[in-house]
Amino acid sequence: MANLTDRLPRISAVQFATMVTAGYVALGVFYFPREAVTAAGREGLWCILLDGVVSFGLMHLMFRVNRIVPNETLGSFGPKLFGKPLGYLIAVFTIAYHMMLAVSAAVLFSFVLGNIFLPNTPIWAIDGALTVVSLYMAWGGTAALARTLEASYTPVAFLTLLTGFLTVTLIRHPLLLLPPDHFTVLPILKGAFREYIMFIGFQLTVTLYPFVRNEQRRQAEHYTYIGLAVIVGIMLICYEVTMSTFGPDFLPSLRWPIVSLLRILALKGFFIDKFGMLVVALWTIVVAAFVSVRLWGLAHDIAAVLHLDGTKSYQGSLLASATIVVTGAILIPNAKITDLINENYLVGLGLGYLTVIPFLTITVATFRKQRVQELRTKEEPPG
Amino acid sequence: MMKVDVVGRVFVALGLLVVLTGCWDNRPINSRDMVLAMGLAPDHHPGAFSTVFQAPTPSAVSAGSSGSSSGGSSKKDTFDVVGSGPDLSETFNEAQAQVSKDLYLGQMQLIVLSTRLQPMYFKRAFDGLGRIATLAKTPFVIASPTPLIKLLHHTSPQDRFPSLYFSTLFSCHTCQTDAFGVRLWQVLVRLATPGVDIFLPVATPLKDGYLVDSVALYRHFQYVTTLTPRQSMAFGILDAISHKGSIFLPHYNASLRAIAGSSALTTHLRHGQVDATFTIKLTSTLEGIGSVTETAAQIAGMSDRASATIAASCLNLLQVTQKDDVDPLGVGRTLSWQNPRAFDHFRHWHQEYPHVHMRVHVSVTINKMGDVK
Amino acid sequence: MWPFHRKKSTLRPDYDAHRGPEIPDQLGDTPPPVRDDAAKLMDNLRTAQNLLEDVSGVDIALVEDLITETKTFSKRLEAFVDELQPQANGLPIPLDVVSGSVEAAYDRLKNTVGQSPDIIIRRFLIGRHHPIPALLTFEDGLTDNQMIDQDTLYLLQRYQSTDDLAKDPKVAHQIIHDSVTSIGHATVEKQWSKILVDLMGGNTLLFIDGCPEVLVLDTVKYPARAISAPTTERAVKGPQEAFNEVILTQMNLIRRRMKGPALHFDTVNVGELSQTAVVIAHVEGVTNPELVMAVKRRLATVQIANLEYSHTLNRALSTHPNSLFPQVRSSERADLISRDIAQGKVAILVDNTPYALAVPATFMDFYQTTDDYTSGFWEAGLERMVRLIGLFVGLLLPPLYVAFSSVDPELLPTKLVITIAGSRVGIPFPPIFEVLIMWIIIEILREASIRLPKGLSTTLGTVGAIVVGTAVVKAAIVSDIMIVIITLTALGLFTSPVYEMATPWRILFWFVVAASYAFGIYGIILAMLVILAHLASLENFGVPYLSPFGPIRLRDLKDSWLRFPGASLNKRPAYLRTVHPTQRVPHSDLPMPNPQLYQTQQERFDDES
Repeated sequence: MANLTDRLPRISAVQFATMVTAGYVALGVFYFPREAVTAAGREGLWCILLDGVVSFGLMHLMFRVNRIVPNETLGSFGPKLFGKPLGYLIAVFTIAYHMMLAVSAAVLFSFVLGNIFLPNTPIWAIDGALTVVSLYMAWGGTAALARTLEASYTPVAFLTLLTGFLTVTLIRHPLLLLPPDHFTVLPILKGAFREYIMFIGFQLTVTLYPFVRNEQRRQAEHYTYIGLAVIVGIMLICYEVTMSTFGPDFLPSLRWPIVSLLRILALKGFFIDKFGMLVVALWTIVVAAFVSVRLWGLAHDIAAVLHLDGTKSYQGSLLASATIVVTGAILIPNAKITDLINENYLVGLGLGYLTVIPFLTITVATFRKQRVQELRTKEEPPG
Repeated sequence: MMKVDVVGRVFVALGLLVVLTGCWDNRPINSRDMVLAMGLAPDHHPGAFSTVFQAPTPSAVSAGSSGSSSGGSSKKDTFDVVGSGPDLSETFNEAQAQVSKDLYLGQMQLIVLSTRLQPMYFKRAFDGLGRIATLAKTPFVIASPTPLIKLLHHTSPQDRFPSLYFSTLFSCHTCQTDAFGVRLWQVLVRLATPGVDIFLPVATPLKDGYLVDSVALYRHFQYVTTLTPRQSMAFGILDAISHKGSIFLPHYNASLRAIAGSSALTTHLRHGQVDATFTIKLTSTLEGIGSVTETAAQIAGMSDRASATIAASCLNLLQVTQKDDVDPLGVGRTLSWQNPRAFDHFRHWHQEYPHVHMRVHVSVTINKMGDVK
Repeated sequence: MWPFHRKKSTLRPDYDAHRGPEIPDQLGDTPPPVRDDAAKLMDNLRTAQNLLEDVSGVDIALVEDLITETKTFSKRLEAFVDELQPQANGLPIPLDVVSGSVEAAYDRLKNTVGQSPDIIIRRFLIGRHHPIPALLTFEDGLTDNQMIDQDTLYLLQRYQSTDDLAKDPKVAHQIIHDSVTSIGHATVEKQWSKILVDLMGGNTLLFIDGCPEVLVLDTVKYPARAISAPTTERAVKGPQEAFNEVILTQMNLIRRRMKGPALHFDTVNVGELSQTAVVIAHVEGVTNPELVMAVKRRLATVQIANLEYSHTLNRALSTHPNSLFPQVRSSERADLISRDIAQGKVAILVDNTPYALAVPATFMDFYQTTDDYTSGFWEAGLERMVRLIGLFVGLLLPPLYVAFSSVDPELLPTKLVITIAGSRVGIPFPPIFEVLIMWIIIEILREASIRLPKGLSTTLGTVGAIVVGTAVVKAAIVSDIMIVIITLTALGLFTSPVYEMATPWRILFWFVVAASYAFGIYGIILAMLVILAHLASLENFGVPYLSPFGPIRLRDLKDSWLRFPGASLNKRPAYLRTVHPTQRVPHSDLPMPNPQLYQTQQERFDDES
């Protein structure tokens, strides 16, 4: 990436916020709000809020990490800052983790779709098609991907919002809309931890940050916070509607509660009866965005670790990552395994990464001020 | 150039994969047997129940598309396949073996439950229905004391298929006296929620169409009783699903119609005793009155009298449910939400429900008076 | 039979020098000067001719042709060599420069371009008393005869004071330019390479003996089509003027709409043979100069023998020439092109093509038309939305039909499913083949009705559509719903005001159909994502094709699928990065000095808002 002749297009603040936001919603949205309700019952509402607050804090820390050497990705400045062994370890971990996220999201969505729409279609075909499309989205590079996301998120957001208004008609028990008046700490913490799968993925900023135009970086951070607030808001609405439709006892037994909610939404008189299912199908865009953003990050991280340069190597790493994603997805036999992977590994590892990396980087940076100064002045922006 | 090459190759490979693997889910709609209604009934074989899958015949389908509703009335519009077995998938397999096309459940509109179906099979069948992914959880569920084949074969001049008849009926709230329509997902939710029992509308065939004016009560999966139409109306008022209820007030020689309104249930725990209070606020239209003109006092009197009568019939219904030990109005559920600890305290809600202290507050407002002063 | 057999035996250098490919010197005053190089070349040629004759079985006609060509070549060579005679100062005149001798010019012209019959070379004398030899040459048919006869030749022949001309022949052209000829546009040229192109373009060249400069008189009069109403981009209320093939008219049409001096036309000639004039139009102080430079640079890379159509330039003007989507907006509407120029785009006018090009073009540009700006914003917004719906209907209706009728019927209301299933009872093909059959029928009808004479095509269109449509349904090959769908598709894709925008969709349509065949709704969404990603990856002249949707540009969104009221479109499109972004100053609400007038102004605002 340090090749100065190879000018890469830079992205704007809005595009950065869109990419980061696209990088974390898709995986958790399908489980939502099952984990929180299972653990905390009607107090699941507090889990969501807590997760939002924690994400805000972690995001803030992540941005501080990014600002240390703003023109380089963590993958490329890590080895120089921490020393090679630790730096590369972090980079490899980042790569492996993103890979797992991509596999998990792709296969999870394939299970959802295969279950509802395409019962006779093999999962590898659904997953493969999704990954190929994500690959194509990432193929054109940062700017093209960012533009695609910007342009495709608008209709999805609009339709989801519309559906949100429609689902209000499904509310059976307005009593359940009220937040519970008591507060049990342990179940809430447990629920919040499990539900954190919703927000896993914004560590993408460590790779994406240098691609933002210099003058728009502060703005980009603000927009990302706004994006987080919007997502938390939408999730709260979703939680309320799902909760008051299904009740706290039926909800934990649903595999994909929001999908179930959307499936029972019927629009009488419209020419697509099961409007909610159409929205589920449209979430393909959200998932494809998630996977393509992951692939993009993977390609850049791999390039940083292997010291590769240029478009060809970017596309080569993309292709390799996509192949691994498809292969990994084929290896997962059913939806239960995805659940287990997500709950047992991805949440813990993700949260660990999100807390350890900032503390480590910020601490090391305070002790090695001179090195940081060198890195900051030496490295040019990648565009 | 490389970009075009690689992307092109990937797409060609994907296209080939798709072409070579066959059609997967691509099966034109006319080569599927669209199951519009399904019935669950006891079977004469021990250890089994039978499932009726009803689909429209191709001739009925094409007649339906060309718009001539009278055409083909002599011919059968629907055909049924019956499968029996210990669980849903076996009954399905047996039914599938009897038809040439794929039995397709994605357009299911109606599930009819025989009131004589044993609880075990009811549970098994609904466990199965809950997991069928292609089946949207939106079909309406009704109960029927009549043999299912008879009910499903009954035709109404209003709709070609019984399934469409019921889906039209239940989708329109104001088309019924009380909106008794229950969808599959609502049944599933109630079955999973402690402190509430299911109720299902009961349909009986008439000469031209069906009679739907009462509800059947279930304790878990066990059919308990069918309420009378008057009780069902009280049930509708208590559950706030009444739309066209009416009441005759002999004292004033007057009647009120379009009784509808809200109902709020609150529960309290007082010294280990559960109090349940239904607060019902109704509006109604003055239908007829003995005198040509009415006075304000008369109206107030009528309101009071109507409130008292309705409250009495509601209370009466609640006592019936307590006697039968079914909680279709979800008193226990409300308690569990408003007072979770108290609810957890009762190990079996069904032992507690008969002892709940019930109170009903009804206020009827006459808000429409008709044209004649 | 073989005329050269005898020659072979009697071939002698001196003999042939006289009798060979030489034509008698028509001017005859001076013997041909010594021409070493030319003679040598002729010898070589003759030797070659001999050699050829030795070869048996040579095509006689070929050899004859070769000899004729050789003769012509030698004549040309002689004409050049004549002019190469050393000047008074001993230095030879460069070959490309006019020598000043009318005779030499005549020789050169006669032997080069003069051989074709449409070039008229006229020798005459200026004045009566001391006549000065002169020469007029022009392209017959591209010139105005009246201008040549009356405004030039007549005046020159009757010119009295030829003494002035004879005094200093070097400035003769100046005198004639200033006080004799009455042609408005006359320039002076020295180089043959330039004047010959001028001559071919319809200018008249005037050579005066002794004057080393040639007067190029603009006597151009093309046989041009009249300015007609646009046929491919019709508008209900807008101006009804389309470009014609003549570049001057094209420029005139734009200039009439933009009289400000900032409008610039820069000419380049493209095409080795055609020398087609290509004009780059832009507004100084508005258009981004980098953009103008980039356009010029790209046009300079065009290496082509003959530039016939403006669309040939599209490849050079597109960053992704292999993409399905057009990246250069072409239009025959003068108002549209001048609007584009005023917005800060660069327009490219090409001689002999009535379609001007405008770059950079975004996706949205292909859905904008004159009517959007001549009507109120409600109407414009409605029309734009209709175009968007048309695009979606055209692109998605058949794929949705395939998806709903064979992969995901559960999404439709039961009654509709029954209707579809009913209409498909008895049809032997799966929906995708229904689509294919109907698509083939429609495309054949479309192609046939374009190629047929106008009277026939309307008949064919209606008869074909009705007869084939009903027959196909009667024959139970396709369902009747399919007829509705494919008709809407055929119409929907052409709601784009630009014809070439329909083509990518007509092709991509199959991509979406195939995807929906395999994966139903999911496939359609994936296919749309691929299309979107492709559109987002396109860029031309650094402008993202999908702007203002990706990247989102709020300022430009106001003139996208909805057109906001004119008052809110104060700025030029952001993606053009114009030098001067403001194109309109919002109405001022400040009170006017005169209260009465202020009142009037207020009322005007009240009415407006």
